[in-house]
Amino acid sequence: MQQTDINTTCYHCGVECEDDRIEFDEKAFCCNGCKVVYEILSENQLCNYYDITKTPGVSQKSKHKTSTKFSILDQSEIKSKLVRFTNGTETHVSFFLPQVHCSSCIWLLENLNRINDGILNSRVDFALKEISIIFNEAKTNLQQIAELLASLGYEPHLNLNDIASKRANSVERGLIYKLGIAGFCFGNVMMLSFPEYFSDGTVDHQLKTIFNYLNLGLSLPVFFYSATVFYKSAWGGLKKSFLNIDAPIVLAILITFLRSVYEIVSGIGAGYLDSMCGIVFFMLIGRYLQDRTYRKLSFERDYRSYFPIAVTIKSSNNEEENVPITKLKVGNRIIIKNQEMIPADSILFTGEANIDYSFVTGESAPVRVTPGEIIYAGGKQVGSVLEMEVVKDVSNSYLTQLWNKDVFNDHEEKKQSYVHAISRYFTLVLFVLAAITAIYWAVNDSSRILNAVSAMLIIACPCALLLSSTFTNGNVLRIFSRNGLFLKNATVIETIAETNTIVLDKTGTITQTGAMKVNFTGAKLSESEKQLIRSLASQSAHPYSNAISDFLPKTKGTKVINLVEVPGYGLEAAIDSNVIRMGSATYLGVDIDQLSNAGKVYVSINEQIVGYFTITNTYREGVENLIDQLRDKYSLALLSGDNNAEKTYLSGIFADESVLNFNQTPESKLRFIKEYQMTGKKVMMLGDGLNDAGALKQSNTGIAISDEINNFSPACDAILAGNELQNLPTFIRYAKATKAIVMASFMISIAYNLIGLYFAMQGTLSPVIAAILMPSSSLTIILFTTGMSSLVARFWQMK
Amino acid sequence: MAGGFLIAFIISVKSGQFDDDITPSIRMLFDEKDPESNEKTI
Repeated sequence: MQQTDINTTCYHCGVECEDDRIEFDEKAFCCNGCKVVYEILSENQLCNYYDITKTPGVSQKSKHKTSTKFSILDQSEIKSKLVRFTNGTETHVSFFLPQVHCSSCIWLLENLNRINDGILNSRVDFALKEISIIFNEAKTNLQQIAELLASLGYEPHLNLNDIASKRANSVERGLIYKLGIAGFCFGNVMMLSFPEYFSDGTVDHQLKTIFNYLNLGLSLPVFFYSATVFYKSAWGGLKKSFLNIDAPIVLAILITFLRSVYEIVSGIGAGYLDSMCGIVFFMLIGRYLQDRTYRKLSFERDYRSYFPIAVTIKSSNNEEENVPITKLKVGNRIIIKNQEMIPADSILFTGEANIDYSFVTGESAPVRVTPGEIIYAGGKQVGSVLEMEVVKDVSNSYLTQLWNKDVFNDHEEKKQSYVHAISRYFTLVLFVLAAITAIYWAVNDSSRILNAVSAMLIIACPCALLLSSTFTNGNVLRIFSRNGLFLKNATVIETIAETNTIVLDKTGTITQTGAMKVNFTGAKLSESEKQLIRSLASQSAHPYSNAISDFLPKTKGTKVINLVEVPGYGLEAAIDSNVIRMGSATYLGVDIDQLSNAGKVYVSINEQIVGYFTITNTYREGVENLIDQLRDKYSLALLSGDNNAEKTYLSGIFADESVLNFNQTPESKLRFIKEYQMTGKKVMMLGDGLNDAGALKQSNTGIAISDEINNFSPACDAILAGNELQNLPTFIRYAKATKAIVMASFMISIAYNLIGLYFAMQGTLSPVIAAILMPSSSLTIILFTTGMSSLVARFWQMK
Repeated sequence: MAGGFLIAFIISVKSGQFDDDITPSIRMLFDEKDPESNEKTI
């Protein structure tokens, strides 16, 4: 089976080879790009690349020569932003390589020094898709390294965000230290406490004192270092006059520590240091599990992540020069090539502009712009070279203005979890009980007041509440991510559970990106006619033309002469002495009502209209079923930036009362969500492109749909893999179940607390009881929460 | 002895062993072949 594949699929990338296959070194390649990569590798004896994984490469076929301007990398201003460390000879730099996907990639990228001897060492972080390179400045430079990576098919992804701000070290080492130290101290304190608990009086008193002081020494790092996480959080809450769950926990830690110090120093007992170290350790584990964010994902992207870092400008003496976008000024003449993005609103001077705004508006068909008109930032040119003049700064352009709106700057108080509210009640009840106990002992035996009250505060520490929520959330986040839903943090679980309104975007969200469905209406086409149409369609870069040429059977290239393309309207050419024209109704002179014309491409052969192609989006698998499931429980709405060509189909699957709005701008989407929220609705917004960014930010839960999780998604609360969209109802149900699990585990912890309080109120809480209750309640909660959340997930057949 | 383990732990975090927990597991599977011997085997 493999034998036949060798000749039909590309040796480099595994893509099916067509007629234009290239043979080299007895191997087949789908395109010249793949062959070139193979050549470089074989010259440098790096063909091991192909042994580790079969066809490990990334197809070079559809790669447009984006001509990324790597020359600007060595400009000192840009360089200082990219370089992490340098001592003049040895320089450290990291690049983001979105193409990294298999072990061959790692192997090749870590052997770069065999190709360029200026590279001393290269290391790949697979999860981050990042390469860290150490190179010798005397032998090579950033431009050469970036060009080498690009020539191997791993073009570094550089964007404005990389150079606008230096990235912080993504790894939270602090928490790992705190966790490790707390664990170490907890284990040792526990061990040194055993003689105290289980001795029958035979242990020497002096030895006990030594052990107690050792315990005190060991718990100092826990109290002064590991627990600082909680102090900071509690203090942060108090400063905003908000009592969060960490405040009573800090109080309990403080009282436990002080009472233990008092007991040990005055020689009356051993204190509760093992309990204190234990709760800190368990709570840190919970926090680590819950806060372990997805390092490779970014939830805070703004337009800067999408924009290139450099643009070509034409200086006054007609010379072309690459400049960083940050230096682009109003009045600059810029040159935009095929597939390049327009970085700032500009007036077109020369060239045939055919701008693809799908990124900004969601509208799938490119827009034609004539010289003298404005092209908005964020559009991509499809076709020939353009020259234009910048009329607005990058940060004041139409698209980027969206980010200057209030939603993006308004750092409103994030939604507070119900856990904090419960902890407040809990603390209140505890204080009332403590007051009653204090009054009771004041009347009966005033020497026991302090003992009883402090014991109560120690044993009834709401750490169990914190454990319940952190362990459940940690496990739920893990299960969600296994199912293709990546949440920004644990609070998002709660907002998902509260959802009662779901708003969907169309293009790229419920439709499949890049896939189009083509239908032909008209006279039956003969094989030769199909060939003629395909030959013509393959001449154009317009998405409709691409869809049509993919739809028709593959043919050998036919000679096309006198090709004329009117961007935005259609194209014509002579092929085999036939004149073929295809395009919009106006272009072909067909007299049909304009409204029903969206998505239709008419074809004429020798001035005879043969029919038209209808091009519609392909909906994701299971979309009809999804909407069917959702429409009974939630109110649904669809906001599309695209035209209303598919309204009939969509209104068929949505409920009658659902709102379907077309031709929406990014701003009107945002306004729509805001109005919904005014009426008290909890809105979940699902979208993809930048045009949804405002709406995603405004909504209670903004979920970005992405087919390539690691690459690009606008700022959001969660990222959902496109092929998992159909499981949305299960996800919402599971988020609701999470809350029930946390509540049930609260009940368990309260039961434990009542036992502890029973002893504490009488003033008879011994360290042994505390030492048994504390770990056993923690363990029960950990087992219950993780067990239940996994069980529910399995019951609902989640992965 | 316990202190020794604690020091070992702190050194391991400091040297970045906890920074990336995926790549090393893949990296250890590569056979170290230098280019010359690689050619001989073919």
